[in-house]
Amino acid sequence: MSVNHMDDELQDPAPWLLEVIAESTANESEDVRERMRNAGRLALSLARLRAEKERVGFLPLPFGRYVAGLAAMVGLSLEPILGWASLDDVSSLRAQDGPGIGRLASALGFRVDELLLSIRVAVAEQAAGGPLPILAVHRGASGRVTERDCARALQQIELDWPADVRAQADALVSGAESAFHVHASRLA
Amino acid sequence: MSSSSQAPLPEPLSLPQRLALLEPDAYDEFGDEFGPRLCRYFRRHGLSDVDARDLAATCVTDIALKARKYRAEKGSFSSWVYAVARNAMLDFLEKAGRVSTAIKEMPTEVPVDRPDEAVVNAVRAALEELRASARTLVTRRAHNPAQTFKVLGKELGLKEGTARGQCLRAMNKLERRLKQQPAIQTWLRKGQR
Repeated sequence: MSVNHMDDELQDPAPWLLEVIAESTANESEDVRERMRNAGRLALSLARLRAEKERVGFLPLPFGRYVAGLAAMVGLSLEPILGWASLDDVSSLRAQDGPGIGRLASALGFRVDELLLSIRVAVAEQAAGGPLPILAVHRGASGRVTERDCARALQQIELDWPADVRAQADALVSGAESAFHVHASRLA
Repeated sequence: MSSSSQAPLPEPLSLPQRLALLEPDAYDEFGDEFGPRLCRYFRRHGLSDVDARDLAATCVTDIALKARKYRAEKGSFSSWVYAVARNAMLDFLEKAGRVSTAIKEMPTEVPVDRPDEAVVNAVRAALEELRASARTLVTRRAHNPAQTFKVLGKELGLKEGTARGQCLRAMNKLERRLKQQPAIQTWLRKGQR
């Protein structure tokens, strides 16, 4: 019987055999293990921000300021979290920040309509060069500002938006919404 | 007071319960326990070292974040982790244009529990009985099944056919020997393989 004929009778190994050999001879470097522990710690930071967001609820603030406020309240640095979301800075939003914002918002437990409102507030304040009186009044009110109040106020403001501001808002919203749903489906 | 009147000690919390309670140690433990295993799992399914590590890190964060959705009555935590990771891997492969029907239809042969010391010792003892070149072939193949015998053979100074034959003969021998070991039989039964 030739060697080639004998080789034809050899069987591919069962998946469990490959698995048990790999697990029994594993030798991941400490760098890899530390990277994985850091990934776990990042999840803890996101989970703590999410818990704080559940406690705080909706506020008529730009997305970046809202998230920065959550981080300040729980004593967390925002830098690693922004890095995870591929965002440099959320104090001033750019059109290309949409996907990162969507991913971060999904992880923090935003609802999609809530996210889109906070993006519109951010664009409105950036376009106006500062806090908007109509929203600032609501922030100072003794009662809670509802999302409906905020949406109504924004509708008025957006009537006067020039085309470039509208385009920026549309790009942000589109990118954020798409990334939000992708990430939300992974967390479902 | 007799010991029988003392309240029983509470059951220690499981890892997913501790994750849901935002215990910091639990997040370190999850990353340390599952991160390297997910790396190996992704490599066994053809991802490069770099991609496997990147995807494993992403999965550690995403899965730990959704740990509160795990339901113990539906199966082990390990099974749940690997089911989520498998979907992430399929998404990754799909985006890279590397998903075939075969991969999509592959059974969910997810690892259930990390092999215990008895299993690890049995495997290592069996590997030690192989010739050095066969042991290297088998170990390398187990960690990266996507690596071709042509590449493996070249690294060891063997022709492709020789590398393939040596490796598969050694693996067939290992499989026959390990299946007789009680520790391996128990581990296989637990994973229902």
